[in-house]
Amino acid sequence: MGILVVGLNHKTAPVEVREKLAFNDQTLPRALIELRGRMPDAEVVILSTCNRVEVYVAAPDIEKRTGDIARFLSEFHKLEADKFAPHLYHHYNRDAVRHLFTVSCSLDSMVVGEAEVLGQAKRAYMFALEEGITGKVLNSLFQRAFGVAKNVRASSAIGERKVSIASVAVEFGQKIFSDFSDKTVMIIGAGEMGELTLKHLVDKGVSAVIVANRTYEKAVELARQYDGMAISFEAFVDNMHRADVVISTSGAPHYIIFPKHLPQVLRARRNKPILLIDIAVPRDIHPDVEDIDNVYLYNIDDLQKVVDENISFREQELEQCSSIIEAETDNLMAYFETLDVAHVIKDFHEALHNIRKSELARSLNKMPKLDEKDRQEVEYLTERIVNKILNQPTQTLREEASQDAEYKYIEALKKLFGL
Amino acid sequence: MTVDIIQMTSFYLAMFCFLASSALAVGYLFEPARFQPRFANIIAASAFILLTLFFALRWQAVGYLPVSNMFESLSFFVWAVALIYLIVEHSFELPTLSSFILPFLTAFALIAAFIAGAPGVMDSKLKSGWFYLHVAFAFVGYATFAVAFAAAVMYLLQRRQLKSKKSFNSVFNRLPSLEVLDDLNQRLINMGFPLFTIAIFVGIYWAHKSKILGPNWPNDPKILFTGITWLFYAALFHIRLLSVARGKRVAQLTIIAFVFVVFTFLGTRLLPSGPHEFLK
Repeated sequence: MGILVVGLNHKTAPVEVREKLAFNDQTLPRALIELRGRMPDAEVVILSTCNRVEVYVAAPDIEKRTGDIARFLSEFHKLEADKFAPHLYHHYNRDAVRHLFTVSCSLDSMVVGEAEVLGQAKRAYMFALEEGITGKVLNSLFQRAFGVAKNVRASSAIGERKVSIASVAVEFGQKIFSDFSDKTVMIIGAGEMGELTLKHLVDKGVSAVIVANRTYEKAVELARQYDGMAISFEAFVDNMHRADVVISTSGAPHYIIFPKHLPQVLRARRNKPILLIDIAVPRDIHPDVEDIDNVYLYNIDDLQKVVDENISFREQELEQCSSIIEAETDNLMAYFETLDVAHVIKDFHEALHNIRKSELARSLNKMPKLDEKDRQEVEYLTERIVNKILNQPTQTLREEASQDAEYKYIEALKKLFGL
Repeated sequence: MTVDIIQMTSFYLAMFCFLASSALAVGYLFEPARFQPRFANIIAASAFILLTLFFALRWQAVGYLPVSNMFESLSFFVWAVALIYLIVEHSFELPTLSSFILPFLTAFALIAAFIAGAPGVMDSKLKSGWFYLHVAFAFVGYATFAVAFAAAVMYLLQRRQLKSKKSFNSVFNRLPSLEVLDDLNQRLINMGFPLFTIAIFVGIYWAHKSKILGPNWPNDPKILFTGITWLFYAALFHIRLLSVARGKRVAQLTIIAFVFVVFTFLGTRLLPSGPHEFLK
């Protein structure tokens, strides 16, 4: 029995390949059943996210399975194998364990330390568990992986620090406003990053959204998504006092907000602070605006600088995480070792011979008259009996092990003899 | 005699607890995982209880509110700040506030411990119900100003952090938001200013009625500086009321005003003593 992972990720394969091999919630159960049909003696988990597709298999003679899995991926997705085979990696046993630990701790992620991958790994495992195609090995492996991820997160700062423009902007916002639920956001223009920042803020509880856009229809459309209010582009200055946060992403070739606009805005706001997030390039907001009291201005470079710092901070934590993962890999491999047949046979023999020896010593004490020759004869007798008893089960175990079917026997033996 | 020993023991134990709670509170700022602010607050609350015990015992022993000398006055100030801090902490749950208030409190506590001693002799003119009112309102008012001062310092630090656009790796990362600090400052001034005003009016009425300060009372340095301090807080109170300003300027004014409080309380002793000087 061994463990194998075959897969590809954002480091080995471009997105065009990854998306063709990805499984979604609908196709995943079917894929699991089909793969299991091809390998009835194997335990299987498939992990599919936007950055990776990985097939975890625990089976006898795993070295031979790599081709089967590639063939399955090719046939299931109707994609010629040579289109993706060069991007595949495979890891066996110890390396496979370490790989899953590294993935679930988010050290292998595109954004190191992001928390999503752990949830995705849990889902992948639950799918396989529901189909009943995991077993002792993959159950131990995945459950341990979740534990390791939790441990790594708790003992390192890998998951701290925001690493996207939108989340850093929101974090600055949280240092100004304690609670977004009574706050209003105005977004000027429409752009992917602006909308993402808006979405982050709405997720934090922002209650009112005002959208200004040069194309009024676009403003209406975006406003509808967030239950907000659309205004014409020209009206944004007059409405600015109503906003606690302004996200500016207009795409104008020049500044649209100048220092002269702010005094009236602040007066109308009774000097409550206002957060200006300028993610337009070229910039929308004149940089002198930030010298005004109660105005907090962040442009895309400010935010990107923090993102970069935070990413390098996370990377500094990698070393510590790796050492935790290495130790945990050792632990799990040691555990798998105890499931090894030779190990179990040795324990089994030792256990019975220990009983023999202690009972023999007791009886010999009661028979002081025996001479040395007789004592030896008695000892041989007990040895022969125990070896005879051990003979059949040992042979059976070895035979089953040669066909990689020893697990239930090992289990039974451990239970029956308390090994 | 034994009562004296219990008295001073509870005082010194309280000082020790303030010191320990400050260490924990500052530790929290640097290593939040290791120093839970809850422990700092539990120890600070114990210190407050011990200090209350000290005052209760001494009050019982001498028969009047023991603020007869500098040691007792300072201790009473520490007691009042601890009271306000514990109330604020209980209702707002701002763990970093402890890191600012408790060391400040402890500094005053240590000065008090340094000059600790037996009760002074209370001027017989002060043995009046008005005295209790005047002192109680003044000290609780000062205590709210002390906490407002801490909130203002925290506000300026947080603001500097935000304006610098730096990443959040500083020890000030865990400071509350500007909104919370500004709101806290406002509430404290709104509470402290009326208390302080009542203390002053009680004092004026009492002085007028009993003539204990004599005819020369406007020339007393303490009274003069109290007037200036009152003007600062009156300004703050009205700035808030009319929303003229907010944020940085209010925080700066809060800090300046509190400097005047401390000067009125301690510094006026350096000036020629006037009729309001009762501490021997």
